[in-house]
Amino acid sequence: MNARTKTVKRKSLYRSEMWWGFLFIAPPFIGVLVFLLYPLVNSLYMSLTTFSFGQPAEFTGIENYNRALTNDPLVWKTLWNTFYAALGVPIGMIVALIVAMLLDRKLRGRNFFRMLFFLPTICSMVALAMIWQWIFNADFGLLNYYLSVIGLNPPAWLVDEKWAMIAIIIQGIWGGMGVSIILYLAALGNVPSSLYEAATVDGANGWNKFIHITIPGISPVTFFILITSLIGALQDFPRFQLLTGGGPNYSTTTIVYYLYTVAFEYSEMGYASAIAWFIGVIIMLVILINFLLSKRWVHYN
Amino acid sequence: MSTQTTTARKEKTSDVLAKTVVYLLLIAGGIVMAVPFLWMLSTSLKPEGEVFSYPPQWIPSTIAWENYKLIFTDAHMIRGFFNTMIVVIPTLVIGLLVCALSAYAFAKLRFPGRDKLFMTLVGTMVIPGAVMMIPAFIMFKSFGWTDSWKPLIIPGMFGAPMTIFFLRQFIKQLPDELEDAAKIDGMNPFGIFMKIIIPLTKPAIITQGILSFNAGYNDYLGPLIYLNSPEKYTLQLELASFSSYYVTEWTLIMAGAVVALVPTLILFAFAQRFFIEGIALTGIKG
Amino acid sequence: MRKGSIMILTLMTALTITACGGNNAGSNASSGNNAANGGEKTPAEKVEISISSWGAPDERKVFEAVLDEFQKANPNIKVKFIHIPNDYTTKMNTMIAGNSAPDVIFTSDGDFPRWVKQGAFLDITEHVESSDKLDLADMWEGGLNRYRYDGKITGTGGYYALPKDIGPTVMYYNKDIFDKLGVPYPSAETPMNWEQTLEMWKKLTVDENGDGKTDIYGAGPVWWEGFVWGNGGALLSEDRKQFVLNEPAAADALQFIYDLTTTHKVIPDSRALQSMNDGQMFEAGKLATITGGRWMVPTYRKLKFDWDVAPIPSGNGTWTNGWSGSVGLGVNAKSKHPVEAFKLVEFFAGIEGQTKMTELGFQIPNFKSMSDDEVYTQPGQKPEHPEVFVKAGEGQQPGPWTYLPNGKWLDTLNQNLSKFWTGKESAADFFTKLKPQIEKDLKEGNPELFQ
Repeated sequence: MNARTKTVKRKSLYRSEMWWGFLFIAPPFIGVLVFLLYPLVNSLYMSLTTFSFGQPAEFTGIENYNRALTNDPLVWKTLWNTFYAALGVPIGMIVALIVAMLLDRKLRGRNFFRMLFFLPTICSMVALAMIWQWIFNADFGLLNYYLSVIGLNPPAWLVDEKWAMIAIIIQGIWGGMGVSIILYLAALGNVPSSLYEAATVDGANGWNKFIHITIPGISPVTFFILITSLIGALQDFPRFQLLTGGGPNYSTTTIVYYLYTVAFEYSEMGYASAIAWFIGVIIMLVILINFLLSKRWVHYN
Repeated sequence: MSTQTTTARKEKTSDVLAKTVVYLLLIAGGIVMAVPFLWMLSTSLKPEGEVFSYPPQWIPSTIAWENYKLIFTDAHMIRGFFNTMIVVIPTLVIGLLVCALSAYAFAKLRFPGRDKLFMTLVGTMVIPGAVMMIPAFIMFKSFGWTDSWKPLIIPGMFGAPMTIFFLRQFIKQLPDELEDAAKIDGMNPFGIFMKIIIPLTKPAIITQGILSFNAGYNDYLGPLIYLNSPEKYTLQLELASFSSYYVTEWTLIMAGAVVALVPTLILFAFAQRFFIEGIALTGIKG
Repeated sequence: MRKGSIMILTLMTALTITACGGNNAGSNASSGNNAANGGEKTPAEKVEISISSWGAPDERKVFEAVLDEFQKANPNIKVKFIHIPNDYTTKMNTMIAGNSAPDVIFTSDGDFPRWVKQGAFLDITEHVESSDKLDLADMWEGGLNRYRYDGKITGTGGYYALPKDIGPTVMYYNKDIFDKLGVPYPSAETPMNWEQTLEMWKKLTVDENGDGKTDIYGAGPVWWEGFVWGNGGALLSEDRKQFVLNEPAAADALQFIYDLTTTHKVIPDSRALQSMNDGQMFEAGKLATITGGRWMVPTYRKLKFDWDVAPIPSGNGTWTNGWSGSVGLGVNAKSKHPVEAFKLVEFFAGIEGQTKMTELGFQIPNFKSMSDDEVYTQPGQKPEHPEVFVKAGEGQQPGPWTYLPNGKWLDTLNQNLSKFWTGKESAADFFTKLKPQIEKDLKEGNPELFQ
């Protein structure tokens, strides 16, 4: 009897919870429907046509996709570049976690350091790109000046096909770390200190605590940073445009940079949309795989 | 007794050692972070002919304060700043609330298709924005919203998938027992959200607040595309007017970038204590 | 205003524009003309037109002054000025696509071919030819022709815009370095040939402190297009269907530049050829000479050392030794007030606008007859030989980014050049191998050319 009322109550609770749930998630979906659906559908439709401004568009079915996948070596080259550049994501996350752990303690001047690491995030990207171009300048840049002062023979960075991407990855880690650090700081603060105290009583050392308490405790945020950084990295391009213009020899042209050029420089909006949906599907797959894998390593409790 | 003192001392020495290592690492990292900014600051104070002298010159031969004066006389920095605030603040406040609500629903409430809907929302981020720029512009034009702040303010009020995602991760970590207790007391989900969820996720919300503020504050493409009238220009548009088609005025661009940092830095300094110090979850979960 | 920046952010147009060829636009223009003839008889109503431009604060002030004068001269026209701080092309792409572009559209010569193909500009040929303010014979051909389009290529056909300015390129040199090293200044009269140039640059390349590293180089990055043209070569065939950079005159020029960097080492390093930042090396006194456009003059006037200008070296002694930059003004094909809009274009391109804008120092005036005018020569200010720019303006051509609506061929070329500069292949071999790829781009991007 008692048990039955409980299920009934649960059910009605569940029903009303359902409506509350729909109500709460309604605004973002309304936002998507009103502001995003039209551009999204429009770009999907364009990807099936020869749309180019000023010319009548012809419906060509999957022809654009065909061209991107089989007849345009630049698509594959720039896709490869994009994944190469995305190497900065895991590296950046590790560095950010280390810095966040260093800052997550009572220290004199820690507010100062936190601000310092966050600075690139809040600064104008254009101004920063100009500064980094100057730092990386092969012959008269800041970096190579000091590297040669200590007797090294530095590379030409942004103008050397082998080094340009590495330089951009370094710049990206430097510039993107701030966000990950403050997200990690929020996550680290969220791990109950009682867990650490209990572990200390049990005689666990620092490394054990890190592996068994910290890592699982911050795993939801790690997961978030991973997903959003991957989306960001796989769509990144303004930095590349500002620092190297995609060169030398297309070595730093990312796929979104390429599709941007196709759309706005070569006016082939239809073809550019097809490349955009192609990369969109790849990103979606990467995300789905990560969501599936996340069940193994992300702990919410 | 004596053994105890030794251990205490030992602990102390290892503590000091650890602290030294931490400081050394932070200082090394700090230098790497600071150098580009010091260079920016130094450039912003240089007379124009001196920007590219080599070997690198850190201290300008004469401090050119006039660069800072110029950016205020040549561009409407103050007006731009207030316009930016008009654009950023409503979106920030309402957007955050909306995001937190739906994050709570996605994290805790049970309803059919919840996780699929969540994936859909995250999925809207995967298509590169470049191909949607023109359709979006045409759409907002058909709403009659061009040359107004509306395209910059209103969509953001409906929440951003990224923020929802982050807050969901946080709320999911909260123990269910807290809500269950409140439910038994007859509180509805909105009450639970206001009374329990918000206080417990304050640090996460403030962190996201800083990030959203920063994103809005530094947005350039949106205002560039939608605004035409100079009196509506945001700060970033004002700052961009120092590079002409022919020449780039390095000193002014750098001075502008330095000045633009100030408001966000103040906000960050002010919010720091909330979002980093103010976490009081200890004991709740234990 | 090097190619990169022009090309980087680019264009797009009218989602709703239907195919709008030259003829079509032409008839619009003439109907506009009729309307104007009728309009003159009835009392003029006040008309508002809009114009957009980019520019730093000092340019903006001059621009607004020109607009004021125009409005004084045309009391029935009110001009709304949209100042676009930066990334002009991105903004204009969107505005044109959304049918909200201003009546008068500013365009760089690099954006022009795409926008004109997309039907953004009105054919203003009739207005231009009947204008009493524009003496076409007195204007630089290289400036005018780049804004013509025949439905396939630019440079010929109807007028779709007029130059607001023309900025030729020259060789700037640091006089202090020449004096210090006892090297005579280059002539302002005639371009040097390659042998003389190489000899001069060798003398100017020095390792001052003997550490084995060169401290001052004879020259900055060479703008290779000028060397090709100045040796009688070309990038594309006359009809722009073929890539001809592999032919002897052009290949020799590229080989010469290659040798300058790798054998003679009078240019910093082959790698510096691609770096956009190397104008800064000249400002830092690390380069004795550098190629640059007229628009650098206001910046260089602030430099601490003494400098002047000389012609760019030329293999065959001609002045076709470089490209000139330009910005143009066209009438929006969708404008409701094409006649008034053209009046404004005419005002900018004509004597009144030119006088005002030449003061800025970025450009040479549109009119040959103005080139002795003190407005342009600006006595007492550097450079000592402003006539070098005038001669260059007469001989120089538009850059290759103005050739065709679709510029993918040029991107492919530029990206591959880095491979050439750092590689070991001879110019003739390298560009012969590249030929099919470039011609594929030409064909794919500009199908109308091959119909």
